[in-house]
Amino acid sequence: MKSHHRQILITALLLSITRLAYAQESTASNKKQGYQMKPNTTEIEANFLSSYYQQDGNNGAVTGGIGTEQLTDIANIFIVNVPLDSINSIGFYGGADYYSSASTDNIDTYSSSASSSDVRAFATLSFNRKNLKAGETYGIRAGFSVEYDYTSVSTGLSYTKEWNEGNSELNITGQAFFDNWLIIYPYELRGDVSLPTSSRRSFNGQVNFSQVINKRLQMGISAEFVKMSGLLSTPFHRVYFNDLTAPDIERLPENRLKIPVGVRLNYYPIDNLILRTYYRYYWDDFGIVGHTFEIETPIKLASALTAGPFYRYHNQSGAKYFASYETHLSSELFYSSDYDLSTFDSHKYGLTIRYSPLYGLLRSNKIISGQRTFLMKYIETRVGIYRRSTGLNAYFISLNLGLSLK
Amino acid sequence: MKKLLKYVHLLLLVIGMTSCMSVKAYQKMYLNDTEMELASKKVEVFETNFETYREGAAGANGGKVGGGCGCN
Repeated sequence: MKSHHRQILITALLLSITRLAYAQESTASNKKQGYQMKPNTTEIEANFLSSYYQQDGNNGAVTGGIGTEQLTDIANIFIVNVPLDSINSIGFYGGADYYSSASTDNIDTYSSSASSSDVRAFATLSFNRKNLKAGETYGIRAGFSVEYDYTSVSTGLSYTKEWNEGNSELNITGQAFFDNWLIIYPYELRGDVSLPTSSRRSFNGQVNFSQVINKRLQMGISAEFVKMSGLLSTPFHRVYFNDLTAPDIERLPENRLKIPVGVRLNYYPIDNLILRTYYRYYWDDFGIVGHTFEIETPIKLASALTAGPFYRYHNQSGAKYFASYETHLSSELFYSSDYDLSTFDSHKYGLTIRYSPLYGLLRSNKIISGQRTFLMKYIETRVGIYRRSTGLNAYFISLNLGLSLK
Repeated sequence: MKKLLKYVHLLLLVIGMTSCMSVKAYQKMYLNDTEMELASKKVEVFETNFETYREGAAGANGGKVGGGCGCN
């Protein structure tokens, strides 16, 4: 790791440690000020999210960096948070996405392969407990994800501390993912190639710190440490060599370390305009260094209607194991022609529209035992275009329905 | 690039020095606005997912780092 990369990481870590130390001292200060974090309300909040995504390009990794990257994905997610009492709550996050991919159909060029379309189902269940006086929240979660050739189970712990009358917050989260492949090789290479393992493990440590700066400005810092090991290549990606006629499958190291650090700054300069900004620096030991910048400017067109144009720019240097079609040498130890690991710029732009009337969009009075009211609180939609300098183009439309039972 | 990284470093240090700013609950009209949330919006979850797949660089925004091969 270069010295300035190390300096940034060390600064971020020191900042987090300092914040944690300060958070410990501030519990007494919170008590003195008579401040107490908010208890859970009795309201059950839920979101139903839906999305359509389509992409195309001419650098398919399945065909060694040439050929179609066409992919269509339709996804739905349901999120619900159920308070059990004033301090305990459970959360559910689950959904499914259906995709069809002309690219993965080329695993077997003679007939339509199993991966030409697939469904991925996933769910995570979490439990959170608050200590109101100390301003602390403890969380535990477990989840899974299943698709035809890939299964994953995950578990995680989180700790959140707020202090300074709720103006400062520190969150520490640790997660582990245990994944397993059903290995599918390209048709013509079956019997000729093999991989040492079919499992993948990922350990993720994350520190988030947020701070109110004044009545209209707040910022957040997020630092992550991700360690992956096992099968990190994709078994059905082909690589064609400069010095050999026969292709091989993609080969990548069995370990990868990723360190992203993000800074978010949100500002409300005038009564009908908000500026949401985000910058991320990324480093990994595959050789990728990335910079991402995002800005969104929600404009309050009416009391219930907000429109927010957004723009995102991303730039990355390619992994040292990447080379294009027929460029790698067969003597190399690791190789890939997956353009997701290449050097490129990308641009994303579009519009978010949110309609959120004061008393909701839809209301059903006292539907359960005459006690609770169902409310559709808001509707939010987001449309956008994504363009990558490699030639990959995509567009998407997403929908979010905010629901509640109270 | 080195210059940009210096700015990032500087920003982290400045952020480290800003603290203890106390805004009372009744003064948080703007800060409590949904658009001021210090995280990606829920409706952005699908974009975070495809960006994780389409870009080698990912993370530090609440996105997925496991639980799916991302191979399509």
